[in-house]
Amino acid sequence: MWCNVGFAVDINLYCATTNMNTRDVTTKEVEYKELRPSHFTVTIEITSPGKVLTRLKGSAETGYMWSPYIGTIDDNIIRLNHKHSKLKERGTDFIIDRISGMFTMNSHLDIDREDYKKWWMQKTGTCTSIKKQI
Amino acid sequence: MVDAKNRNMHKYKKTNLVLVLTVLITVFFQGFVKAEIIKWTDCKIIKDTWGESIWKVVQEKQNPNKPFDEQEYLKYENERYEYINRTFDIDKKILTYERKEKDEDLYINKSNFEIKDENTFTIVEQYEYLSNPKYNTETKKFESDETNVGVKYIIYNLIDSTMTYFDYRGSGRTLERIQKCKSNYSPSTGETNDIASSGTAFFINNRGNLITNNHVVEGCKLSKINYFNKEYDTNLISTDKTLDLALLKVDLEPKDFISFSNKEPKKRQLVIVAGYPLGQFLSDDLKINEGKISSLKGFENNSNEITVDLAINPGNSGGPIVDENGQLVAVAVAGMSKEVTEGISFGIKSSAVTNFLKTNKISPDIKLTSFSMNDEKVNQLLEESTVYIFCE
Repeated sequence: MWCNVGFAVDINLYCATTNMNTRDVTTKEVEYKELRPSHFTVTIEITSPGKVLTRLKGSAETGYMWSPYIGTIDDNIIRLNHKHSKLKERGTDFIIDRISGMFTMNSHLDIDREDYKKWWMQKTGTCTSIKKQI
Repeated sequence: MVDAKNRNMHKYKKTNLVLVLTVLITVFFQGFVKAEIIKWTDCKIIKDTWGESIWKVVQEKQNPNKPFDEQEYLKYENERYEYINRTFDIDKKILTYERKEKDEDLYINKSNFEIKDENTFTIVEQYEYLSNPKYNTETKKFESDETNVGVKYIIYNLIDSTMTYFDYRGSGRTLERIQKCKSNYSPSTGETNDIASSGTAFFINNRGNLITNNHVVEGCKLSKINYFNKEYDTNLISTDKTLDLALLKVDLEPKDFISFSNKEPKKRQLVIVAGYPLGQFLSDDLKINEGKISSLKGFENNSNEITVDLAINPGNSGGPIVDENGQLVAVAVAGMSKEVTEGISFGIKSSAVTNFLKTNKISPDIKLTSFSMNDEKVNQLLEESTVYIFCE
């Protein structure tokens, strides 16, 4: 009776984090680290034109990854945000460049101070579009 | 031979002209404003994953030998509610949710929805939930120091009138609930089967009788009027599809009503029209404007109509066209498309309205003598006798 409800996942991505950068909240210094690529998958559902709901599936290389993300999509960029504990928090921004496939994932602290508006942890890497393997 | 050809050409041109005019007039004949409202009523739960899991735990404690019966659970759950209704306002993208639980107050909630495609609406909403909650026996509530943020994804399918609610927590997704409703929406035509229309009507006596066009009330289960900021239900007494007239009654004594002129209309006679063009979307104030009678016949030589150069727009339908003394000359009914013509509108003659009323055993108030009225008094008369009529 409800088989025509959209279970379909519209976009599947296979991503690898290659860099992890951290900003010290007191000294404000950024430490850049290169990682051995750690893979995870991204499933994106289009909920209405230009709007998406996204889940991340971690792997043994990444460990558990927080979800869900909501955001927008256009020809060039997918902009997503995940709030972990509170609705009012800044959360994590996950931005994927659809042309190059490069992504940045910026995590913010849940403290409402001018100093902390910048990310404290940043992951960067690359995503490629995939079809379901099995 | 030449004459015959010319006659045929003339006939051909005339046929084409009639065809074009018919199309034009049909376009404008819709003297109402159609609102894009989809109503879902009598919604029933047909799947409730979370409720089922709770029910199972409770039932297993009370009677461990009895297997879970989904139909019994859904019957119990649905009987809790007198009704669950949803109304989608497509223009404003607002969903109004109404739920009446037995022995409880009516719960109403409004939320914004998105249009995914022509047959699917969606709502995506973040919410906080308790992380690792523990049951407090003193407060009898689940409590936790921590919260997490999840996402509700609700899909409204207009084809089968179902609401499907998914819950996203972490990287998981759960189908939480499905409800199936009755709907006024037809997926094949993309239209609702109870047209929400609006127009104008006016009082013809102090007993609450109203005149409007048939096409304003046609297909409407209940027409309501707004009279001095108060809504009243109307009773439809009689209609005449050919004349395009409808007679209604409302239980109120109006402050004033419109009398009928006993004089025949004349070309170039000054007339005044009152109404609600474009419904109350334009404004809720009565619009009054004036013009002149240009012909004593209507479209295709219709002798029941007059042609006027008044600005009559959709929503004016059913409004009074009066003379300088505020007496009824005609009822606004239709006009020609403004894209091609200018200042050609039609009104049903007051004599035709009189015949319609007499056949329905209502005596119209015909003034044998007319006293001149100043502009202010005519305006007051129209304000107190003309009403906004709409389909509920």
